Amino acid sequence: MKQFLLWCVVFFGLYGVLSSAYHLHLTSHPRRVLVAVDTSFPMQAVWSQVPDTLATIQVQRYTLFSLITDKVRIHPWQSRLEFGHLQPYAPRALAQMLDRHRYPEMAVADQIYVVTNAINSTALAEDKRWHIVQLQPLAP
Amino acid sequence: MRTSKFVVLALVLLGVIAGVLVWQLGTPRGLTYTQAVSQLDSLLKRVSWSESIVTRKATVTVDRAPDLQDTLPDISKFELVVNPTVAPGEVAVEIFASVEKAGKGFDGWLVEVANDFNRSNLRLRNGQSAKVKIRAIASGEGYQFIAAQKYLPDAYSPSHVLWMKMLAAKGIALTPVSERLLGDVAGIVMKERVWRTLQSKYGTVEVQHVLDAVAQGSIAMGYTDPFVSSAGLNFLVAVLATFAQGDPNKMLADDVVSAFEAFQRGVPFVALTTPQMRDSVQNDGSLEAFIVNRAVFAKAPAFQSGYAFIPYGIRHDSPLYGIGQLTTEKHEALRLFAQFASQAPAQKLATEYGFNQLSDYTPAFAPPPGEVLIEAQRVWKRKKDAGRPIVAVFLGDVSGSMEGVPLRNLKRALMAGSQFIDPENSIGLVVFNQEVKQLLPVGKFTLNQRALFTAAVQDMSAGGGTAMYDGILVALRMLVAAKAKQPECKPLLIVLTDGETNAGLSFDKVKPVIAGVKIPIYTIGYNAKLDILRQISAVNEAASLNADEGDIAYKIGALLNAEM
Repeated sequence: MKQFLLWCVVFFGLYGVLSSAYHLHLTSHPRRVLVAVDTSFPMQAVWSQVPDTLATIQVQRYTLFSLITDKVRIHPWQSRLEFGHLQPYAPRALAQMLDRHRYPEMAVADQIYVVTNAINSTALAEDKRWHIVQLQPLAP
Repeated sequence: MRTSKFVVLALVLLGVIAGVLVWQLGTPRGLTYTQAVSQLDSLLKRVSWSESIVTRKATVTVDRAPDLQDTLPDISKFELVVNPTVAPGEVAVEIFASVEKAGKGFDGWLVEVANDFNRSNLRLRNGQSAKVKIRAIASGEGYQFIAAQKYLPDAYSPSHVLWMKMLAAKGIALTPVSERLLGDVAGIVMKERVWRTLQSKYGTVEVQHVLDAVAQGSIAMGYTDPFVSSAGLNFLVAVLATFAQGDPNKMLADDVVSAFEAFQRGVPFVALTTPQMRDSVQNDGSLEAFIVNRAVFAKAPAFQSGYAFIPYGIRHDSPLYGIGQLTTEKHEALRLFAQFASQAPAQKLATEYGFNQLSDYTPAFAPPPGEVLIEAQRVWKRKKDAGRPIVAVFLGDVSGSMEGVPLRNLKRALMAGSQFIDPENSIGLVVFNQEVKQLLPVGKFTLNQRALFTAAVQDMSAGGGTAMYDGILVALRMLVAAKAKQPECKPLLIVLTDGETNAGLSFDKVKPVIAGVKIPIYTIGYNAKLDILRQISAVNEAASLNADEGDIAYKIGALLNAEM
């Protein structure tokens, strides 16, 4: 019994120390997820799906998010995605949205989500960090 | 004894401090919307008003789209600011010139130059001496006169070349005389703190960043009516061209127009005058940015520090073009005048007047064809409300002083002006003398409502005193009710009157209510330059106009074209 208790103390103690260390490591080295939302006029057709899409992406723990659009950086790295009052307008400008000089976050991001309804947008993915979320109009 | 004196002194001091505190804390800070509506209802109990709802329907015609040109006043409404005596053997050319260079005081560059030119007695090749007459007229109004061929001057010098493109598209014969009489640029003006906020967000502050900030609701911006104002037309074109990347073929595409609509949602009102917008920005009103020419910006003492200027669109270099088929002599006289205006003394004078700044500014796009510009104005008219319907109540003065010609002209102007109201917007009508009568409840301006409105206007008759503020309260109540039904609507009140209030409530009583409900009140004084009308409009940053029998139809038409 004594041995069992000792084993428990060692096991749970070790587990706690390792878990805490891992938690501290993840907290101090969070994953960086860049979310790029296409806010052009053609997105009007699927715009109602964008908040839910971002909420799904945001479920990840130990993660910092940055949100950009084809027009402006909405916010830099932070623990939550803040969508604000964005609205879709103007011609599509994906090249501006994916401009590495304009958004240096792309270079350091561990994952890049591109939310768009552009046809053939899957071709935008440059490497395995890229996730293209191609929205489709909901069935009536 | 000394102690009791000290206590008394301390008590007095405390009393004074307490009094000051109570006075400060008790200072009214303005009513909230709910408080204002409550006070409105309470004041209405003291107002003598009734419903006299029109049931008759007048015959209305809808055979063609309304055109501001149909309501143009006589050309004599626009002053000849340079009008030399022309002796036999002299050749005189009349030039329509925009008011920022042919106005009074700080705006009088062209007036000085034209007077110098006339005094210098320059001669044509055939020995005749050349003279110029200058008629000061806003670029858009000049365009309307020429396009409608209601009055053709010999030459036209608007602020920029876009009006020329539109005239060419209308088939008016134009002869270029000079592409630049002086140098000027339009720009977006904002307080430096707003500019810094945008800079921190976008990195740099260019036109497209301002447009995006307005579209996203970060700042509110105002601009002038693109049917009348050069800066307003240039701004509309700059918005469309920015998103079309300068391609005129794409400027009216749905996705580009969507950018204009998104931007337009952040525009609280289309201003009729630059001072209206300037006051709003200076007094921390509903606007944080507005448009103005560089020369005006440079001259205004208020903008000498703490404001940023962001150039946009094409240059405002005041081109000079001959209109119609000119005689050789007239054309030569125009060329002589253009040469005279381009010489060093005249250009030095232009610099002193604030022009010729930002000479290195190059537009990001070329002026689009006139057909595109005319269609852009139509798009503006259709889309400027950005999906938010306008609800307007007209409040007409039918007091005794309006009897006869004034009321007849007012009726004609209201009926002509009503053609510019979009059927998607809603209209109501109230009249007042010493009593207030609601003639037409607020309703969508369908053909049926238009017929009722026209009948109500036709049947208006004058007599009695003037209880304008009572009328304002009744009209505001109708608008408050409309807003409750349709929260996204933009309510506005248009007051037409010719005289001082001599019955009913006073301005002091209704001012807090007007401010609290935040409904803009446009006032049109008929033969009445009343300071009080300006004060009423100023409460919620609306415009106040003065009109007379010669131009009331045009002014009401222009107001409704811009706002409705």
